[in-house]
Amino acid sequence: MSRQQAAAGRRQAPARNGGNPGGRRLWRSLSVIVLLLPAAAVLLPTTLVLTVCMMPTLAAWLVDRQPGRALATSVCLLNLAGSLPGVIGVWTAGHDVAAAQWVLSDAVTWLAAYGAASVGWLLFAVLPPMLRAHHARGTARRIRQLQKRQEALEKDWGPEVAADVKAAAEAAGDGTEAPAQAA
Amino acid sequence: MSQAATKDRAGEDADRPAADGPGGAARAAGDAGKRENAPGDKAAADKAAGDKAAGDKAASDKTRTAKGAPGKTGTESAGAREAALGKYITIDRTARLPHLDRPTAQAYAATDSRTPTEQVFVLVCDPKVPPRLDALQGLAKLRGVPLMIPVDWGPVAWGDGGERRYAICYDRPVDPVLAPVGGELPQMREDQLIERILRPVFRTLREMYARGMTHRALAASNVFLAEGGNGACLMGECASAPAGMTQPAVYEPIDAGQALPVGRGSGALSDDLYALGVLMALILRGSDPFQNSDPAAIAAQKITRGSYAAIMGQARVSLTLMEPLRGLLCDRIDERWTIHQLETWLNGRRQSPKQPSLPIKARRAFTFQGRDYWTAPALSHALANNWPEALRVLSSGELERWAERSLADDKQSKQLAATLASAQAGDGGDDRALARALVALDPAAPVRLRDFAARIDAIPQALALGFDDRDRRTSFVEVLRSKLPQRWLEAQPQQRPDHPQVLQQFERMLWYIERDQPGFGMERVLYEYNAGWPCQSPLLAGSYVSDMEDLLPALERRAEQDIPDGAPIDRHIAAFCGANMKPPPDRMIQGLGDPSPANRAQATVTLLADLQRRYGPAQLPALCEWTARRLAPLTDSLHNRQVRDKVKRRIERAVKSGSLAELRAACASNELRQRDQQAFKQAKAQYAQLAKDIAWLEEGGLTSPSNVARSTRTVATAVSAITSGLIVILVTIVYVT
Repeated sequence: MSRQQAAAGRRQAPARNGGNPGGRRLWRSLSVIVLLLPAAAVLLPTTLVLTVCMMPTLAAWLVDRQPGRALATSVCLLNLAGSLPGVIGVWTAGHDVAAAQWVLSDAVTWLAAYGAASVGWLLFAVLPPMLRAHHARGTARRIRQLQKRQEALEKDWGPEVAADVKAAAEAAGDGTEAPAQAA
Repeated sequence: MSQAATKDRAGEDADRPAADGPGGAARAAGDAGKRENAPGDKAAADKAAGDKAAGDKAASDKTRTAKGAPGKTGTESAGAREAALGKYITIDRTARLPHLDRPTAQAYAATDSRTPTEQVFVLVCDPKVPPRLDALQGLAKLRGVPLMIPVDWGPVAWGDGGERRYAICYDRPVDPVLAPVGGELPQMREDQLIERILRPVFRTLREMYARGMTHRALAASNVFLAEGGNGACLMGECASAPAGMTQPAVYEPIDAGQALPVGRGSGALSDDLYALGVLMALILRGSDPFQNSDPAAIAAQKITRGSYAAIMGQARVSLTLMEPLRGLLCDRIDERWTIHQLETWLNGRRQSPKQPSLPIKARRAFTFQGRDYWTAPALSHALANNWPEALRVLSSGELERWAERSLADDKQSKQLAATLASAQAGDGGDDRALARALVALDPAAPVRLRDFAARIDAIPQALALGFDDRDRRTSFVEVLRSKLPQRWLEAQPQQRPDHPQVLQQFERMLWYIERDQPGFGMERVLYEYNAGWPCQSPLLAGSYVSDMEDLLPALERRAEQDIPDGAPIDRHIAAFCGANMKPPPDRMIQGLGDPSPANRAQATVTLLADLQRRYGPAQLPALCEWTARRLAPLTDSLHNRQVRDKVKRRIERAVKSGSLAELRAACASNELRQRDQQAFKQAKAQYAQLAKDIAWLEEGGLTSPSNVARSTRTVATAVSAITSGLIVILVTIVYVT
């Protein structure tokens, strides 16, 4: 490699890094870790308690591959809220490793943290059938509302306002399927 | 017109004492002899005649503008026997005066309420042959000349069907005409001929020439004797028919005689002087040698022998009269006597008689249909009168060979050869080629194409008087498209300063004809180039509408009878408006040809409203209703039902008011229609979106796994956030307290 080619490669390297989203994410994660590590070292008892209590969140994070990670977010929020008594317990007990051991040995701490996290999991188990039933009930009502709005438009503008929709339906060969065709 | 003249006369009554002096003395009666008066009332009649003569029709335009309701010019009186022309003239429809009839007008006895002792008569014109409206105003201003001067004129209600005809009122002459049609001419000595015929006619023609008018109806059957034949003659009327149309062919110069009677045109003073020459010649000869001849034969004789020799034959004339006769009957216009030369002769200056200049003979005769023709004009005339045979001759090439070898005039020969060469190159077909060849053979002749023959200035009139004839219209279009007028003008040996203007007129005519939309086409040519021509619309049949002011009242009367199915503005009315409205409403007229019915309806109501604004009258309820019925496309073009109903209600109110302007305002404006259109587009889009939403719901879109999953994520996140927040608050409160 000539000297000029090496220089060109050096000039293009930052551009390549800047243009790679995976690279950016890695750098960001490393930055967070570098910032959090001193805090975790200073607050080691708290870190120990949170690490143990937040295991359900880690599991949810690994399981949830949907965009937005709604499951992980829900579990995380509730898990964090459930871990709060344990953290406060460490702080009130002197904030040392012994206090952390004492808090982690308390079943209530585990129950609160894991119980709250399980509520997050439970929501994703219970909500779909409930929402499906709710939507099923609302569909007919919603259709009636939309049809009323269509009727109002026809009253104001005459049947020709629906001409395009009906023409499309007729072109499809079945007038009854007009809305479906339009959709 | 009638109201104008009527008003003038009313004004004359008021000014009678003042007008009773020199104006009365200058009355034509002084020259032309007495009119018919009741016995014993001559003094009063003379006074009245003087009053009439003193009246000036110059204020007529102002009067017309001031009048309130056009259409009331001529109204039928209570009895069907009488009809009123203006305010003062009453026509007795039962009293025909056949001896005063004109070829296209019937004479009826009439009375003038302003001058009850003086007898007048009215010529009721043929509805298909309009009078010379452009000449009436000028004729009414003539004073002190032996000429029948129109007293009053205008449309009158005629018949029971609401028909209107144009009528012209004149003083009734007492003495008979010089010679009725086909009758014998009176014998006169030369001095009598000069004093009774030549001088009075000269004075009249000089006065008309000074005002830029022509008579074009000078014939023995239209000249009245006076004082039992001992006084100066009275020239008959000349306004009841288009110029030259009713003139016997013998009185017309060769070119006018070759043209159709409707294609002779107003011509020039030289035509009147020629007619004077013919009249003198016939009186001197004592008979009409062409009494039973057709116009083509008369023209052929005149071409071959010259007018003087053809008319006079072997009759002898004194050298004194031979001079004006030869001068007036000269066939070349540039050599024909002018009014000044005639005046000089009448003042006593004598010269040697002018020798006739006949066309130059060819070296060899051209034989056509068994006859030998030695001159190009004679051959041209023969070819024009045997069109099918002439086409055969043209295609055989004989004419080209004859022109090259035998014509003495090299320029004419070359021109003819060029014309024939262009014809052989396929430039326009045989008829056009022959027509161009005829122009090259005889540039003085009228423009001729098949049965069409008209002088250059009478081509639009020939179209107008044969507008119902399809062949005439076709010929007219072909004349324009083949640029025959241009060829004719180019072929003239002497170019006149007005030729470019004439050329431009014909180019403009072609421009109109090439446009087929309403307001243009043949109809526009008809009205644009025939001033005062009545509108030929079937909607106005029998109404005789020649003024813009009469148009809306006529349509109102039509709508009162029964509202037609068609629009109130058809092609004729659109063209009539385009030609007569100043400035022309071009944008509105163009709108009448718009493909969109709504835009057409908008243009119609806009034009009608503009007409009402300019010419009145203020109330036209029947026409409003007619127009409103035609506005359906306009209101139907509005999509919003509320706006549509609102516009309809406004239209109904406007119809009741009878105001077209209000009707136009009630109609949806362009801006409103555009807004409505935009809103309608949005409504359609909204409707389509609703349809899509419904379809999605019906397909189970809301309960689909993906939608449920999405809802679950949203709801779960929200619930967990709220719950965790509540927990944090609760824990905080517990530990703090």
